[in-house]
Amino acid sequence: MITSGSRPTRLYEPRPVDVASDATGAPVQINDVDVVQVREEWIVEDGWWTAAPISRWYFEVVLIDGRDLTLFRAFPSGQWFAQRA
Amino acid sequence: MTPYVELHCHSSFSFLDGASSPLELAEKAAELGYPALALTDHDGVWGSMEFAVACKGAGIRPLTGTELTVADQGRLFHLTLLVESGAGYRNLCRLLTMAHAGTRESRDRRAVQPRVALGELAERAEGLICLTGCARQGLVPAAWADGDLARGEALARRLRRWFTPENLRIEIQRPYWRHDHARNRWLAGLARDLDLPLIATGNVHSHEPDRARLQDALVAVRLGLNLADSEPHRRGNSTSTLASPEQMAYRFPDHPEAVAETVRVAGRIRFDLEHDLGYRYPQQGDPKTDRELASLCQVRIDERYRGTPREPEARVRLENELGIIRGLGLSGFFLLHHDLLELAREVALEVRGPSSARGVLPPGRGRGSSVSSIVCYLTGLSHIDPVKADLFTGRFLNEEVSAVPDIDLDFPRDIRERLIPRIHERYGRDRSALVAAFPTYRSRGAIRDFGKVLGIPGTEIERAARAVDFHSGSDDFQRDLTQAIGRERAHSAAWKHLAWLSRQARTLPRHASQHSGGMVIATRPLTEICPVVPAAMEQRQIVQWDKDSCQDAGFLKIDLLGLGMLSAVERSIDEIHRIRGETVDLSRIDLDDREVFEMIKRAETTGVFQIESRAQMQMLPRMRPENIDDLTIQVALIRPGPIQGGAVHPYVERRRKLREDPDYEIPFAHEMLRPVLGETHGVIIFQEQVIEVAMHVAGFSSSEAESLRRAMSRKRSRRSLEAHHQRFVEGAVANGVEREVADGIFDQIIGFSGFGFPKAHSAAFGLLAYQSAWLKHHYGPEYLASLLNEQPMGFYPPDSLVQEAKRTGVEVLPPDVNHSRVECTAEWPDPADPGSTAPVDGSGPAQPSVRIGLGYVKGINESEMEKLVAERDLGDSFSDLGNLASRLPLSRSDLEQLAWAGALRSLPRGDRVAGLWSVGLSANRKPLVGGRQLALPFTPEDGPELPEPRDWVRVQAEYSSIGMTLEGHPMELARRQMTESVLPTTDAAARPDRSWVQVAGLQVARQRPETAHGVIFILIEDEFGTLNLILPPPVAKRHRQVIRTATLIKASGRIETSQGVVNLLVRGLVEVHPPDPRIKASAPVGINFGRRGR
Repeated sequence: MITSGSRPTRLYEPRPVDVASDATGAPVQINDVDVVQVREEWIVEDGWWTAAPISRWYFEVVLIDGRDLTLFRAFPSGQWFAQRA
Repeated sequence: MTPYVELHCHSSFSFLDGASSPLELAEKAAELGYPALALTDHDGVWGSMEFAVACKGAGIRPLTGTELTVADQGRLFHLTLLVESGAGYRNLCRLLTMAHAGTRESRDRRAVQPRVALGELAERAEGLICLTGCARQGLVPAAWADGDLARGEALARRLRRWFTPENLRIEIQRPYWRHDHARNRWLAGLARDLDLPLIATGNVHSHEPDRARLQDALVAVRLGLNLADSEPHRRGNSTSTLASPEQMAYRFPDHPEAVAETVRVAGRIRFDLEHDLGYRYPQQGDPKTDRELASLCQVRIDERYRGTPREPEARVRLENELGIIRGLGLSGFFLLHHDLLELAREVALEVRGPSSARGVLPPGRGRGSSVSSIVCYLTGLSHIDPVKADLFTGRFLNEEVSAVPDIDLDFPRDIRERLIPRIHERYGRDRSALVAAFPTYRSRGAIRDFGKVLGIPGTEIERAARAVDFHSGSDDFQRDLTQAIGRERAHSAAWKHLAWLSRQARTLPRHASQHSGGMVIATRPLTEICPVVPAAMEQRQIVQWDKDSCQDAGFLKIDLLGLGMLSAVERSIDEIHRIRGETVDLSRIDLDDREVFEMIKRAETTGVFQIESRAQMQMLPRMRPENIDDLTIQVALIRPGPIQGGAVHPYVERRRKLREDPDYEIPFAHEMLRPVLGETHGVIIFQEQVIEVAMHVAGFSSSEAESLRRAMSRKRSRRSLEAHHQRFVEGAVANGVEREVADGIFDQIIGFSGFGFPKAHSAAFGLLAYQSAWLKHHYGPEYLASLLNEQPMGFYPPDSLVQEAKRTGVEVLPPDVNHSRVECTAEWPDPADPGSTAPVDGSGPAQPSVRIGLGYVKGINESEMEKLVAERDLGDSFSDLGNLASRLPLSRSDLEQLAWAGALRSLPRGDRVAGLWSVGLSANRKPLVGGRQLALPFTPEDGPELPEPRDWVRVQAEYSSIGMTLEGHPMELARRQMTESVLPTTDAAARPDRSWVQVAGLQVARQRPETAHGVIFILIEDEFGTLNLILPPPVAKRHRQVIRTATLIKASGRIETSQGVVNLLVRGLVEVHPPDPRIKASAPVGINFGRRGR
């Protein structure tokens, strides 16, 4: 869960990232690092009955430098966030 | 168009899981371009027939299947099964029957998860195509999730042996969950290793993404959790909806062959649920049956008609009907019903006893359009002479009838209870079962269920549930909700969500239950035609289809209905015999008793079958029925059909004019209507008049007309109405009717829709209405006792029946341990009894009194009261409380209930309060040889003087203990707080038309008919009588809360008198508050009938 404001941030809190995506919406570059493989892709839509509903499109990717990364695109803002895989 | 067929799809018949109806799915699939669609609901084919009909209507091919729950090594998994052939369908039915077989073994018979042991599939795989299961719980994918790949492979190999490679597919899904790719990669590898095709499915749970919210909520309801806590069990996103074939292909970019495989599999399936069932009812198509039926009818026609003026017509009718029956191959059908009725006769004899006065009564009576058939009359299925009553057979039986006719039989409840198991015995438990019914979400249930899952506080839910109807107009409910829980909460997001969910869920089935009387009988085991599952009631089992689906399947369905009034009538006959020694044969009573018709015309019909409702009572003084034929129309008239069709007012007016001027000419919309609508003065009142009008005016064949009638009445068939409209107008014009007139006549037909009674049915009910009125008039006390014993039934709660009877001079005595049986009885007052009302000059009362039974005392087990009565019968009356307590193991609570109900008053110091005090002494006792020791060795007579409760406390005591007031109407007390300007109902009714008055009374009945456009009708009762209140929509809205929640109300308005009917047109309404607020909680308000004490 993303928290905002001046409270201390949690470990592993999602952080905004800069993503370039292809025509299907899948990420191809993250903070200028190329993605070599999209291993998994899933969607979470929940909490519609609350004041903070979640709608996120998740990807588990492998970067060219060998790192695994999990990131998601949040809707309706369209912003990308990375979180620890 | 990408080739893809959805082969894994859930409708709302996956109860509390699927969020769309079969029709919604079929129509959406057609819109998306699917050529076919499979329905695979959980462990059942509940909705499959409805689905098949819907698909045909939408132009796509329906595929039958199920998602079966299988048990393996103590865990439950899913497999998807599709029916390829008739053999496969039979196997499916057997598997589903097995899965449900042990689901109601617990004491409360609550259903547990159906399941079948995995090994059972080995012998029942033929004709079925098996897919390895869904991503979450599929038999094979679950092994991958467990990390036990070897198990997954082993299971797949087993399935391969049973289903063969031809009929097994490795199923992959893409629910957009994490690990979809990894799982599907493994499954694809498995498919390669086992040389099996891969197949893609969607695991659809709704027809569009927006319904995913409802689907979430349904899952939470099913699990008894709120939405947040149910998260692990929900689908997690809105992708489990019916997507286009292109979208489905997009989901499986690495497995295009899996997408294409869906079309190959769908192409192999040729099984058609509507036509390939192979159902036959007993004796169907047996040539001997024609001769047998004819000869039975010949014997009977000689008995009933020989030498009578109606004989020639009867014989012609019989030949005609037998010819049609032979042509349709239905002789066995009628003989089967005759057989059932003979069985019912045996059962009736057992239930009633051989020497019972009830023996003169038939075991049951036909209702519905079958009553018009002379074959039904001669074979005993109907008791109305169709020749004498001039009943039209065409609706029930004609050459072109395509569905098996419907025969409905009404039985007294006790006979019906025994008959059902006997039918199972006669035909076999595997060849007979009851029909299912699918209760849908109503407003109150929706508020409670969805309120919980949304986390709304319980008290708020309850306040709203009582006050709000989400299925009324949105303005009303928002206002009601605001009044119930306050503005801020009513406009909160949670309540908005709840309102949305409630509306979406409105017509969806919530669970399966038993239909009130429908039963299906077959020659082959039913379990090969439709799965049979245990019902909630013991010894009952149901097929998985409701009456519409059974009809679509061509099943012979018999409706065995327990009609409370038949039971009440039978009990009356018994009671009359018991108390007066007279045997009443209802088939021989005078059907033209003037006193009875005068009583009916005065609308003194509380408790009378079919003509006691508030609406009926408004009509009776205007209609003034003079004979049984008039009653037949009376019964049919106050129904949605004639009301919506605009028939009521014209009929009543024309009848009045005819009374005043016998030469009055009835105006017909067109002369062609005269022969059809003559007896109903030019308007459509009976169901079959729709058929007759269509045939006569527009030249419809009888089957076309029947199709029109069905299109109007069945929820699934409304689309074809426009086609019928065109046909009607063209036909009428061709017959010389002007187009405008034809449109007007068709409007009348549509207004009528399907909601009317056939004349035959009305005749049967009209006769019963007369018989019940006759009993009420001549044997009022016995009749009242019988009605009280058959509750719940009828329009009024027991309290109202009692008040009305008292006003007509019937004495009603409270329950008493020394006088009452468990049930209410008629009783000659004992002159020696200190409280007796018998004349002291020994002349004897004109009629018996009614003694309320001990079963009416609330909070006591009826079986305890049976023991009490049995003990009293064996020995003497109870001499005092100590004697009572020592002879019976009644608990302290039971004794207190009896005391508070005033049932101990024949004992010394047995009044309510004194009785409670005495119970305190007598209740604790130890069992000893020869009786029970009392805790304290002193006699109750030594106690202090304790005053009896009076006034409101007394009223509250009566309501809370027996659900009625016998010692004075609450309005007698309330009137003391009112000025004299508040009139008794009888005085108000006597005021001239348009007088302004105030009245007050107990709300006894309240109706808001859909046909009345927001008008509310309330019947109030005071100590003198009743009065009908009419609340126009603005008044009704303004006082909505008072109307819904107040027990006693005071109304002001204008008296309106017309043709002997008096109403109060209300302008203002307030609640009357008795000094004791507890009164509100315990007084019965008419629409919730008072419950017997249990």
